[in-house]
Amino acid sequence: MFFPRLFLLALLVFTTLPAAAFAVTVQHVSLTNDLHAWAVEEPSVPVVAIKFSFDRSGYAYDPEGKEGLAYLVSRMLLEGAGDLPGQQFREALEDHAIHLSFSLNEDYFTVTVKTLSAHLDRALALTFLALQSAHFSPNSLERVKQQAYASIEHLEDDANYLASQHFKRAAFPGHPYSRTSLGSKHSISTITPEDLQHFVQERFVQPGVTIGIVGDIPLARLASMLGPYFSTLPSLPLAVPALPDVVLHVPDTEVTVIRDFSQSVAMFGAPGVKRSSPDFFAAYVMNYILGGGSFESRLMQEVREKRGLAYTVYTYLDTLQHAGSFIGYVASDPEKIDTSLDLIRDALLRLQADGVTDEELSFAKRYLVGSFPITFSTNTSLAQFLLHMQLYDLPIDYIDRRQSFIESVTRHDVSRIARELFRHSSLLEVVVRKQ
Amino acid sequence: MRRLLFLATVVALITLAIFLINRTLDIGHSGIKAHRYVLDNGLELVVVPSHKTPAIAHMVWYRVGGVDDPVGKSGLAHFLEHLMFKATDNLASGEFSRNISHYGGEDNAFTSKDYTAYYQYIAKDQLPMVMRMEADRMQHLRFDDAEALTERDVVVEERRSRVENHPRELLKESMRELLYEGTPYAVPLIGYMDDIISYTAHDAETFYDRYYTPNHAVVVIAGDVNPDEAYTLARDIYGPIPEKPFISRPAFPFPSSSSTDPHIEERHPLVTRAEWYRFYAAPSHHSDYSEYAYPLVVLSHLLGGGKTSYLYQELVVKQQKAISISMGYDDVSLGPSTLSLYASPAQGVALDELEDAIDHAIAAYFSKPIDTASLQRTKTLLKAEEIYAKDNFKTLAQIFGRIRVSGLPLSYIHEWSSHIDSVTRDELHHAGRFIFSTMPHVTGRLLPQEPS
Repeated sequence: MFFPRLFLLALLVFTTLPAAAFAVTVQHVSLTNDLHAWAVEEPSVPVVAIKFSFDRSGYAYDPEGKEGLAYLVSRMLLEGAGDLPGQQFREALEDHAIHLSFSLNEDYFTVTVKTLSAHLDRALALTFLALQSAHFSPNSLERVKQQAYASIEHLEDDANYLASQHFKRAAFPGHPYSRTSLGSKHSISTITPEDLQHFVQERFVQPGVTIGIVGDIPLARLASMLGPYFSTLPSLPLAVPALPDVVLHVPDTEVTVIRDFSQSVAMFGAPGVKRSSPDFFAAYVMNYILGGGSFESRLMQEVREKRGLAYTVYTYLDTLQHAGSFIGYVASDPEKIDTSLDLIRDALLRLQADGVTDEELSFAKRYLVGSFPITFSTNTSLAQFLLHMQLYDLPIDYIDRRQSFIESVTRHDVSRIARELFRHSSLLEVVVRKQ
Repeated sequence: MRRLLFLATVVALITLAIFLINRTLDIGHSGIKAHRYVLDNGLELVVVPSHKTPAIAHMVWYRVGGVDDPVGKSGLAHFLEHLMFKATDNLASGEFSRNISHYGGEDNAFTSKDYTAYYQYIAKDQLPMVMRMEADRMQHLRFDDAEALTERDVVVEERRSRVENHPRELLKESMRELLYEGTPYAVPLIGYMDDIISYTAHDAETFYDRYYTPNHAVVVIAGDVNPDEAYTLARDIYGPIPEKPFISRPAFPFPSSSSTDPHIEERHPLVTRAEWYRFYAAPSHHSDYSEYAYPLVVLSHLLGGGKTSYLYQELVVKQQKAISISMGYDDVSLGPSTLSLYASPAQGVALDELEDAIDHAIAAYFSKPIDTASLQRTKTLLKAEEIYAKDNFKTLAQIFGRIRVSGLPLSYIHEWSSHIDSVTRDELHHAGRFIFSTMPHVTGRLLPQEPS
């Protein structure tokens, strides 16, 4: 068991890759007449990682009243498919040490396949068997629902989860981004095997799919190996409309959740920028300086290093397809949480009033450029980034160009975006605290 | 919200192998080789070239950890780990990490009961820089009273975040206290709150002076690196640091067999859903009864490693007494290891009923031959983990460092597959009987507070 000195924070899914030192060539590969993937050949380890996402299939797209549907699908796809009922499906994966998993965020339903390259075909066959011929037996569904109820009960006893659940509700009232992936016990209880079947037929379609592949496979063979599988996805149009854009709501007063934890947890937020915004990189650099950059960030210095008020304090840019938000976290002794929040507000005001120094700016740029290759130390993490690039309409040579995007951010840009983001001088604050 | 990542999950269940001085072994299919050197001052160097990314992981593992905490100062090894990022004679407080970030690197550290490790992931051309900084803080750390007090408060908040806010962690602390009573493994790694608030800079300095020496250290470099160049650098940079007396740990006797069946029950207002835990004392490769270690790796996976495992199928799918159950075991440990069981009861099932069902299921498992297909499947999975681990230079550094400070040779990695393959059904039966019939264990129950 380890006790790291600091939780390592994912700044964003896509930290950064130094183009110069990191020679990665992303290829556009046609899999069928209609479908393509972005791929990187990586022959050094006999492992292939494939990630693909279905658009408008994340948990924010669950039908009203059926919240938790996409989550249940993600669990049920491994509970038997085709000629492999029940546990035989998982056993078939294990027989070849194939890792297959399904995950969700607000916008996307994502499939992750990791396999030894020798078993790639078997891995694909099983993956598509699950996507298209899952059984959704009533017994399995009941078991998975019971597990979901227990997960909800466990999570609602966790201060961090409570904070984030209430934060989403307060930030996006009336918008599906206010949801959590599991839904509620009630909404889960209404979901039937037919609902799952309907989800699969409606959401797992060719027009919604985006694919990233990294591994020990010649790119020339991708079309012949993967094309036959992906072409079995129906070519139906996307069934549900895209969500409306939404801006994080900042209420006048703190949202307080009373619970008797020995440490209080606070989340704070403000409207941010979307990934497509021309100001994205200015905000990205600003966030690094303020609270994204581990020990060097202003908030870490003020709250932890100088005063010992918290073990963890950080901020990040949350870039969903239809909302861009600035979000932060701090946890402190119940007697000290308000002092931590005061310091955070002060730091924001100072950033707004005075901007950043040349030294801070150049330090941030060096870090954000230099840390990029280290982020992609596994095939799976690079495949995830290939997905990210496509989902957010970045160019295929983005890995080479990213450095110049970061270098071009000026002090003026950072000051301007800080003034703009924090112009209301108030934050959404959600605090889980003692009475 | 974004999840916080724990380094520990990276290391997971993987174990690896020994190396004789200046010999080189091929590991598995990926052709990764590890090179081992020992400097004149006793510092051990392990270099694992992997040229996939133009970066390196540089780690310093000290053979000192929570078991070495002085009485009344539980968690001191971990506190010192925090202070290692403060000022030295040559660097200002925080400058270490700042220099790493300046080159786009990432640095951090972690403490276990047996060791304390520091790491940097950074572009390969920065290896001399990180070595110089690690060599510097191995010798020249400064202890400042005010800074130590502030960091003490940080550790207090860390304990709240990790333990106090989670009733299950408090329960597990109590279970370990009972299971390992009389040994340092009974004491929580992060320390008791009363001990934490008593730390002084002087406490940490005394500890540092004793243990932070080249002959207590293993340096591991994995990634895009040439072994001979790394060795030359290490010799020049770490070589001049004087060694000090090596402090051997007192041997802690392996727990003797026990027929008692202690239970700890915690009721807590922050608990809605009951949970059930059991810890068995278990051997590791380095302890007495190490012949059971490989069989236990296989057995714990067969019984409780995921949803195809015997206990999940029996308790969750067939009997529907639990909604989840799992078993964990770590074969790499300098001291005694633990075989742990976790279960969450199905709605309406009392913990007594769940526990009886688990005990009966385990007994039933050993009353008949072990299924050949599931054994084969488990071995396949375990062997593949080794190859997957090689996908990541960070994981390689973690694995090689961990085995060296846990009393294992580098060949552990090389021999992993053949050891797993050679586990027989007889050995699984013997290991099961040994653990479940003779080893001390503690059962923990976490329950909601009684309605008042």
